[in-house]
Amino acid sequence: MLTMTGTTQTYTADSTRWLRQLALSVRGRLAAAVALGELAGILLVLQTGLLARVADEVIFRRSAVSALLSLFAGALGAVILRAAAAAAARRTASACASKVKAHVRAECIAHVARIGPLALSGMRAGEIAHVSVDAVEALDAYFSRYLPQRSIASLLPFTILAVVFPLDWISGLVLVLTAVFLPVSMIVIGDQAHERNQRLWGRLALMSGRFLDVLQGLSTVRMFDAVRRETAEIERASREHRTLTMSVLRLAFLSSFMLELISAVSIAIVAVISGFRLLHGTMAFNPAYFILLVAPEYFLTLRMLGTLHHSRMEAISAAEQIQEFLGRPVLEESAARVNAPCVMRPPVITFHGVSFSYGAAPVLSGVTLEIDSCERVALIGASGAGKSTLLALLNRFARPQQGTIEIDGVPLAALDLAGWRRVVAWLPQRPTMFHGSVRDNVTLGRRDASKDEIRRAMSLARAEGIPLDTPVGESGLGLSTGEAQRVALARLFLRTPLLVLLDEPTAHLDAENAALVSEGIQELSSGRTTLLVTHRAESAAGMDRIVEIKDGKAGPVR
Amino acid sequence: MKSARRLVSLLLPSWRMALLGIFLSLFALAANMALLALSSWFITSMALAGAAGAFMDYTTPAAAIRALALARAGGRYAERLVNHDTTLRVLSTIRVWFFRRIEPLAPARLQGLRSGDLLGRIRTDVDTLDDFYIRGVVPSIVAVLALGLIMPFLARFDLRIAVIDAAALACGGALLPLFLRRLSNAPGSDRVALSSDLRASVVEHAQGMAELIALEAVQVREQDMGLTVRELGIRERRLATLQGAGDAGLIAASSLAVWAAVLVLAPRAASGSMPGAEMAMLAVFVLATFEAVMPLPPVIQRAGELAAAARRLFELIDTPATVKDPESPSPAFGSEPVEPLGLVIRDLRFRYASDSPWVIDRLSLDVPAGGRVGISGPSGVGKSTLVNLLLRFWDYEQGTITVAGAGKEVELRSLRGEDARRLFAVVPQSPFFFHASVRENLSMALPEGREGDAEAMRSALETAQLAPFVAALPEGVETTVGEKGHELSAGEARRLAVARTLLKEAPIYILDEPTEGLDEKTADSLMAALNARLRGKTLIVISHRDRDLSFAEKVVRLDG
Repeated sequence: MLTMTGTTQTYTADSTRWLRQLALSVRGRLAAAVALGELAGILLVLQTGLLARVADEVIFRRSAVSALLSLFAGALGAVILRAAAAAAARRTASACASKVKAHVRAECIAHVARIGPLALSGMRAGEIAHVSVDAVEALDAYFSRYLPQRSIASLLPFTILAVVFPLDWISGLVLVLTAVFLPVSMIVIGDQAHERNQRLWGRLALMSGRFLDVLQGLSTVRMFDAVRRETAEIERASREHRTLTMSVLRLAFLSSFMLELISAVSIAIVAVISGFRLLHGTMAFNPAYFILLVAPEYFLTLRMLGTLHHSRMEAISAAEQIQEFLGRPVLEESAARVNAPCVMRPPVITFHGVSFSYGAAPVLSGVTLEIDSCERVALIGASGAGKSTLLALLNRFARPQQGTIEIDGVPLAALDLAGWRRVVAWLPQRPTMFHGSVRDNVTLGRRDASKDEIRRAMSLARAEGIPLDTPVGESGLGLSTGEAQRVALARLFLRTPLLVLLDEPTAHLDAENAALVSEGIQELSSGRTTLLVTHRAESAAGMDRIVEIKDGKAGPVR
Repeated sequence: MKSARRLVSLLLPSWRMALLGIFLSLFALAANMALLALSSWFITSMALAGAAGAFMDYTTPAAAIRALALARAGGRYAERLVNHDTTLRVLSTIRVWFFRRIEPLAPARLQGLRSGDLLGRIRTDVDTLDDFYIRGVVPSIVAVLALGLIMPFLARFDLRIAVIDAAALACGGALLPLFLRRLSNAPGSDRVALSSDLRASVVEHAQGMAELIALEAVQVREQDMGLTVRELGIRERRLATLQGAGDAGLIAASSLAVWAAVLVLAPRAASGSMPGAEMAMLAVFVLATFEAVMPLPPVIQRAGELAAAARRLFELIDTPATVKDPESPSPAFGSEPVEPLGLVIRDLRFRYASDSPWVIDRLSLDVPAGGRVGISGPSGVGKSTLVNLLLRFWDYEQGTITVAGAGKEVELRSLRGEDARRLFAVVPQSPFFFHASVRENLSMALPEGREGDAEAMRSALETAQLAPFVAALPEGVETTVGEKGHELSAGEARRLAVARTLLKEAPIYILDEPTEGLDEKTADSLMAALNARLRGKTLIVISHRDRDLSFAEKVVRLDG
């Protein structure tokens, strides 16, 4: 638990700094929002002044309404302007938040590609989506409400004091003196509450996380016949959560209690002191009434800030999540190089003692293998033997930790990356189908493909029977596995590959679909250097050579 | 309406606290209105008395003002504490209620629905429900009750200002927000749809990244998502404009109400038919009444969201479970497990939906009581599905599964799900761990009443070849395993799953890839220890590693 709190604190410092930088990027608009909010406050003071004036005229001078019409008209103007300024302030502040969110979302989305496929496979896609959409949303209130309100809270009270003091310095002094207690008491209480909060934070998070945890592990809970026990556990955890939270809140609410108390007491003092002076004739009614009316507003901005405090906390914890994601290491990628060699013909591929491991678990340990131009090689081996890893290395999703891969005698890493991608066609084990239509999925790698090209690719992939307008749902809903496989194959025919990488293309298919896909594969691989990964020797029929990957090494089939 | 009633029923267990909280809120609100009104009346009366050179008894009002100031602050503090406490009680009721009802739906009903998204949706929806009490119920009730106090008070002085105030409160606090909500329906639901679009796109983007890179389609998709983000921004700005209109409306309503009241009262005050102090007081009082409706616009704005969240959750828990317990369950093997038990599977066929391919197609399998059977085959041939059928998480369409032992034979479908699950102890393909300590993860498998059995845990860890690892942990069995067990390596997680399964006393053990992620030596010792420990039990091992199956009397190969 100690370490947990420690990391939280360092993240929090980072997160606040990051949030501040984001705020700087929209400082112009933020300033405009603050100015509009301040303007609304000034108009409120003006309106209050007019009200006090009217009351004074009516009560003490018995003026008729008809004599006060100009004051009423002025008040109406102030009300309209104030409403307009408040609306504009809200809109401007929200535009700041929108801009920041769009920027952060773009960053998150771009980072998905930067992380690279291998590291992504260890992360949950839903969690990434949660960060880029929901965590970013949690920044909204911070930029649209909290930040503008904080600036207004430090401007408007001074504006009010600047008006009050010339009218009546005694009341002004009351307002200043009571307000001085505010920061002091809030700091004392705030510190204690904060410390308590920090101490309990980990436990509170764990307890409220328990519910989601149990939801995710529901099958396990049922499997172990532990439903009743977990229900009791949720009850117990929520009860403990409540007790602990309340112990924090009792303290945390003290600061808002102090705010309320000081605000109410301050109004009471102003009222009573003014009352006595009015009785003795040492003060005029107009300023007394005005100050009484404006005093609540003096404290209101500060109280509002208190209610927005949680949006700051939420933004900080969201910022932690976002930063954690954006801090994920980036797949090192060779920068685009001028004059880097490109592959112009079906390549010769040479593996020289290639080793690769995921963390501590070695997968390939010294693979040496040569594949001729236009040769078609089947790689067989048990699942987990490292066949797919070999393809990942050729795809440049990772680099071998030892050894080199050479393409026509040139190290793979030295080739132009974009040029290399253009000549490699890769059919993964379970191709991803993207939400959209079949056409969208076929033209994924070539948005500019013509109708004829698409038709040709579909027929080469034995997929001409699938209507191009068929809608494809999330994770390929709407297409059978065999259809999806053929659509994925058609994707590759739209490109101009010289090297074909196939990963268990028929493993999950029924006989009929397997035959269709095999035909398409024959078509795609002819005249191209081809690697076919399979765990079954019979699927390797029709290949020029079979190589077995075993114990991290490549060898002929015995 | 029906979901509203169901929601309210969740409040019932905490009704006493709820009532107290509402009373305190009303008290704090009234104290503030009284404070401001009395202060105004006081200074005006004092000024009038001073001007007339008359005497005025100021001790009572001055004391009342001080008392009201304290009442206001104290009332607010107490109100906040009580209402938050109630909220947390309601939250606990909601969670337990939801858990009880969703439990029978796992995993069958919780899978098909866009796996990644469902949990996220539940999370957001439950969060939304969490604060429906403090941000929805309390302010609405308090506003209505406050109107009941405010109106008679104003009407005592002048019926017209009561009408003016009521109209302004209704306009600024309810009618305008309701109207704006109608306007924001379209951009609001657009925003929800665009957000979930974006969520789904990001999921696809992450899942299909390898292909997108290989096909050089990353940028195009990033641009597409950029467009969605932009569309989202347009809706956000539209919604902000409407919100701004709501703010402006409330400002205008409160200010205009005050000025209208002054306009109405001024002739009376000027003519002397109303004391001047009363006019000064009423103007401030009208302004103060708006505190009662201040929290309403967000409530109205969010009511739709809340209703939608509640509807979704109700819909989810109202879906019938895929597997229904039999009307008259077989009492065989009910409470006391019979040992040893065997399985006879005949012509079993199963598919997840009537239009999808068979996952298990005409499977026949004999597992003798007390025997050892190995199952091998490539991934995706329905091995885990078979486990799910045995656990009665799904129902098979054709064929039979018979549980046989002690001279009794029972068709699995005639057992209650709970009773069927009691027959099996399973290491699933992807075991789930709670974000809790090793001990807590183990203890959930122990029979009720024996949760703290440290000796049993120690011996299970021993058999699972995990004892040295756990002993070396900084806090031993009290070390947490991280979220979903992420702080464990694949091999450690496997062995912890095995240990947990061993703690469940059952006649039939099913281990799906028990040695995954283990080196040869550990794998061999694990299998030997398991074999020895589970003597007399029926054991089914699913593995692609031939040596795991070497002790099996029979190895069945499943193949498409």
